Amino acid sequence: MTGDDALHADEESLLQLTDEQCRRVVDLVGARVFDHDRTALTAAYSDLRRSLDTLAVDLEVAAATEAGSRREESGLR
Amino acid sequence: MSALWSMPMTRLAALLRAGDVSAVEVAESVLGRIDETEPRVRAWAHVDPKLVRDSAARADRLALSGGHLGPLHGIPIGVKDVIDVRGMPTAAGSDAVDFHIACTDAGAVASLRDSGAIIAGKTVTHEFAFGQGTPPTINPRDPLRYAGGSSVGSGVAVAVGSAHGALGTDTGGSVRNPAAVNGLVGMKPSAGLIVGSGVLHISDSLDQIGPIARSTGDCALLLEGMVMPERRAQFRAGAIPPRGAERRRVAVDRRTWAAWGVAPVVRDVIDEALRAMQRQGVEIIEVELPELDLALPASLALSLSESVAHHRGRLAGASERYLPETRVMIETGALVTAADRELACRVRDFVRTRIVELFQQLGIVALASPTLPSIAPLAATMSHHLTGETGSESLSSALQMLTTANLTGLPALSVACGFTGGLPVGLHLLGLEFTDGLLLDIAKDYEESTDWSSHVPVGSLP
Repeated sequence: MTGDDALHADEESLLQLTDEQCRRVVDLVGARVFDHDRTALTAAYSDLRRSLDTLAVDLEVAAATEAGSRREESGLR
Repeated sequence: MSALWSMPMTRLAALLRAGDVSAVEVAESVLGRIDETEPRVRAWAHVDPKLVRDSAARADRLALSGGHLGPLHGIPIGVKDVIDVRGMPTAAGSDAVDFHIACTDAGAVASLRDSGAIIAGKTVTHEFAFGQGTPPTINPRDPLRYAGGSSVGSGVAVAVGSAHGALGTDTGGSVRNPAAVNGLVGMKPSAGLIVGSGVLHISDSLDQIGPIARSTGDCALLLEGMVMPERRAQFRAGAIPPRGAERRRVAVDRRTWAAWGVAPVVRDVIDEALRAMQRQGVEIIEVELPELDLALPASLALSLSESVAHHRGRLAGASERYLPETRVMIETGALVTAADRELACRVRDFVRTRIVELFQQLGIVALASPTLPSIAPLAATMSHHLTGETGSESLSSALQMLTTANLTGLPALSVACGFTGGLPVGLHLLGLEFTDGLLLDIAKDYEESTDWSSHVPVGSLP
């Protein structure tokens, strides 16, 4: 993959902020600052959103694994 | 007698109590050291020599009249510049803060004063303690390298001897990180041990004020002076292992070290530290705690979303005066949903429960790991992304190592455990709630088998 390909892939992986999300940030910092920050914010939020979406699945898996271990320990399996 | 600024805090406290040195002499020594080192390291945001001298003179008059001498009587302490000190400005390392003088002390500072400490001044912080941007403070061992953060001034001031101890704040490692980078001891106490009032917080649920000092003995002395009075008995009792736990059984989860990108040179130093502990009779056992992988995103969801309430008012009038990197973190927090926070709280409870259960099942008193995945990175190339990176020199990896303690409220400390390439490495110990004293004792036992704490303060600055 060339550097340009990687850049393009990165851009494609970014989430688009919804109108409601944009409004929330504009309310916080003002429209001009939001426009300035939009690219960096979109990248940071995309990273966090992916982490949180994965977290929900990981928590379910960890809790299920833990419950399985407990059943094994108590001989209820 | 060695210079008073270079003396261990515990030794100095004994000399002051015996009347062998005066608080004024100590203050003059520290002020002289600040003058000597500041042009090169810029660790202090504000020092008021007159205020320090007046406080020292008052401490001496009190001693002469037989007044109560607290454990920190006459000892100058630095305070991170997001924590209010009566009569001093709180600037938080930001152009977005209008100049103002704090009218009252933060709760932890009031406890320090009750213990007899003299507040020497305010130490440099990354803007609002978010860890973004590049503060003026210089790493005293290598000016090109990261000096730690966000309590960067506290770490460097203690390392070069311009403070015997200093306070920092720790939302995701901001006390332990500069302690490790500067070869010191830094502690994030148990949630609830230290009063959190009077601080420009990032997060109400994750922030803790913590001490940075040159040795575990000094760190324990400083922490005792910070603890709220009604918690002091609990702090002292915390040096006793919980029922069923072996004081000398410490766990390690090497899987996380690999997963979080710990550099081989750092791993080697930690392994040698663990062998040194084993030679002292400490039992090291291998465990697997995959739940630790869940801590970082949950911590970020809580801390960033909570930061919004602390900054909404200031952003309304001064958003353009924030560093863009800091601002983007707060903006990201504004996009965290109630469902995200609810998930993060479930993760917090799950991770905490699993840690407590593991400690109790195996009778362990601490979980040991590297404090940071690498030695201090080159400042120019260090990545400041919060998530998604596992390179040993990324902030993301550093946060992975440290945020579990913040998320769960459990105590953790970093103690110097060696050098690689001339730069310090920190050993991280995490324990159960209110076993702060026990963690310090374990670290002290290790420290006494090494000479790492004698490598600070730095005698020859670059």
